[in-house]
Amino acid sequence: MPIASLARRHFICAAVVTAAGFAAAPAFAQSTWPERPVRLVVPVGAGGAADTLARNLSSGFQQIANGQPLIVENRPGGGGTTAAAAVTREKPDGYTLFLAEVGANAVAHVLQAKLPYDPHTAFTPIIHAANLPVAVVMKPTLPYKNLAELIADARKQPGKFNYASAGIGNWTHLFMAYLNAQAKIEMVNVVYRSGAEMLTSVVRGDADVAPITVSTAIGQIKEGKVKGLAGFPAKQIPQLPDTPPAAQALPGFQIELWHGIVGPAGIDPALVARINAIFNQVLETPAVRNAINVSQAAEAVGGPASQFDALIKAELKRWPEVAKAAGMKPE
Amino acid sequence: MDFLANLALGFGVALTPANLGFALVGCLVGTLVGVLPGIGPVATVAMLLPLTFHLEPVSGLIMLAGIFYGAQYGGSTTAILVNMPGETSSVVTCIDGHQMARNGRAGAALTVAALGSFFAGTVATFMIALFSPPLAKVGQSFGAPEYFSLMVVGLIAAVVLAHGSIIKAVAMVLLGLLLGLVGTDGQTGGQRFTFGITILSDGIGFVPLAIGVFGLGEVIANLVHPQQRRDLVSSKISNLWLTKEEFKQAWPASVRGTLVGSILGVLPGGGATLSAFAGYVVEKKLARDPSRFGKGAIEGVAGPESANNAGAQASFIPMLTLGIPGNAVMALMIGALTIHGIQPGPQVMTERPALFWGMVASMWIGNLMLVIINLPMIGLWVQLLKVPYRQLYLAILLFSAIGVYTVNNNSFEVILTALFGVLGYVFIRLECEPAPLLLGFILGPLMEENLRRAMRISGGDPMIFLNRPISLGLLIAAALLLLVVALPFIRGKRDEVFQG
Repeated sequence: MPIASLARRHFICAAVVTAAGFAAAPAFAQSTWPERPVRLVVPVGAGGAADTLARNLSSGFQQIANGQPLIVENRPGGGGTTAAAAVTREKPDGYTLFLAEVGANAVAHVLQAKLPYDPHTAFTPIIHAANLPVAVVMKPTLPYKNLAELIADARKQPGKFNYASAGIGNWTHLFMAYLNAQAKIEMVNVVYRSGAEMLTSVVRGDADVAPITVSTAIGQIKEGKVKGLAGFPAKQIPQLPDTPPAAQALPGFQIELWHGIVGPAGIDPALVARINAIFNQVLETPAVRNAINVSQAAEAVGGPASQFDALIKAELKRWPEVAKAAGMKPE
Repeated sequence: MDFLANLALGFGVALTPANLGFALVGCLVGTLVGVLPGIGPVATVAMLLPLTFHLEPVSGLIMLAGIFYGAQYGGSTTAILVNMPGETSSVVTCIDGHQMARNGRAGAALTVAALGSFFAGTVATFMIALFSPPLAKVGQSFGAPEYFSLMVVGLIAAVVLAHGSIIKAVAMVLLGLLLGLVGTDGQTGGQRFTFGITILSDGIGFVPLAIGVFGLGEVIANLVHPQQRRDLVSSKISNLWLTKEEFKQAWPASVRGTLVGSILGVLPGGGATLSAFAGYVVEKKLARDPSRFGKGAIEGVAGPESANNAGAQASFIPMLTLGIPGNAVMALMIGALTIHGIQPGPQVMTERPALFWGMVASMWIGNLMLVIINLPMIGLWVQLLKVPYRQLYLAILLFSAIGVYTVNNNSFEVILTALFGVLGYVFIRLECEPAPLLLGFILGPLMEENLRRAMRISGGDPMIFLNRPISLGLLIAAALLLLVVALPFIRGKRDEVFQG
């Protein structure tokens, strides 16, 4: 508790000071953001790849951002929409940010009937932080050497193979539904609680395949407990030289598990540019870059806000169609 | 000799002044969050995680691990003193532990909990050092069908938890199952009992339910009869130490609890909780006079407390040997390792022996520290009961509210806790035990999801439960247990009939 209470006290003092500052000189505020601690709301529980990414960003933030900390706040639930909805209700002042991902930002509106926000308009995109590469792993007792062989057999026997996912409408489910559709096969979805449980089920041989982030699966792949069958990114995953891109079996196939930072709708463009610049600097810090690219086996991205905006718009086209075609209905 | 060399390496790492200091900080923080109801190790570890970025990986892990098992020690304190289980694993400690406190034996209950936990921690640490790889395989041999069958055993055993009416116990288990159903159906995404309330789509949390039904229900009951109920607790605080008689009853229970916990703890997902429940059931079934249970039987504290600590310790095994987390705290530790550039997995043991063995050695040191911290504190905790209840209950309510809020940063859960508090009071008036309800609530969803998972894996063929040897064995055990539970009940009815 000491950290939280300290941060809170700090927060209140700083809030009083900056409130006065804002009233006097709004333009000045944008060039000096942040003047108090910034909250980064993360739509998943602590632990796990997305949370680790947020904490990596947070660890490099303070040196660059006027000594202000980036406080990671985990608000799991509702497939990420609980956290996203809470962020949309905050002021667009740059002090409440959201770790955006495909669920809450590109597909939730077709999966949930009463979503309290519209992902098309509810957020201001700020920066594409990183991609977490995902690989399809397969239980080692299956004979297939590559994705093409598995697809060939799966076409002959619809419903014979099952895959593990972490919930209906979760990215693990969406990605495999997309693979099913692109490969014209029918593998059965079996739901587990987490990436760790999914991986265990493939190691045990209960699940035939599962889409898992490279950082989670790499230990078991190197030990030969599971086979790294294919990578979802278009490029070869450098950490897994024996796992070719899925595009080898299905030309044009490409999925990135992207994560980035957005704020509530209506952030002033000058402020967006300022926040974007700071996070670009954070991503270029050697320690942060190394933590993301090497330790997390991920890919730090960065770039202008417009690039992230375009990515989200493209994903808002792709995933709702996949979800509808796979029969994921609003509840 | 390898084993001794490894342990020597481990103690060499763990006994450096810095690492001893981190272990101590972890244990102190863990005890504190364990004592505060609702604030659990998950939230604490998540909050302290950034601190470990700047430490040596092994120091960071030692501190985080200290928080985790420190919370196991501290959690029993509130369970015994104010009937408030902060962790799923201390639910059963409430049953007899709080009764002991009411009988004026709070000191003895706390002592036996601390000593039992220490014994279990010591044994479990050696188990990890000696048998980690084979034990990890045991954990992995449990798939969906095996879990389902294990849950069947657990639910039947739940009835044994109750003292008094079996009918009421069954009713409470069923109510727990129903509460566990609330939320989104995992396999189809359908909504169950959510009444269009978005927040309910994630289900009801354990913490609001446990704190409401156990703790707040008790607070209301105490306020209804202020004088007489409070006096029960505070007037008769006798000796803090165990009597000879109590010691003789407690130590075999501790040994059995440790065994149970070491085995069940290896299973991912709630190992420590299952261990505590199983530890209690074993004691009650083995006791010469089961009617003492629920009225302050010391075995009912020693058994489950040892079991949950052994279980908590054993849950490190899948994390350390396979890189697969069994619970949220373990997932956070893996996150901490990843941030330090260590890829968790089977290779950690061979590639980073200092990290692995340093961690194992620090577990034993941490357990020793916890006993040293906790034994002298017992006098202090018991004094807490002398605080006038009109002040104590306000503190209980405040800390409960804070604790519940911090779990998901969600105010709805605080309101839910209050509602469950009223329900808890109704249960007390109806003389219904809340423990079977919580067991149904925890095991029900696990049972359902594993049943459906298994059926999907087998393509709809129920024979999967009988074809797998472990699953078959568990189902046979469940059938036998059902017979044991049902026989005296049937016989009792017949006696009544014949007498009539």
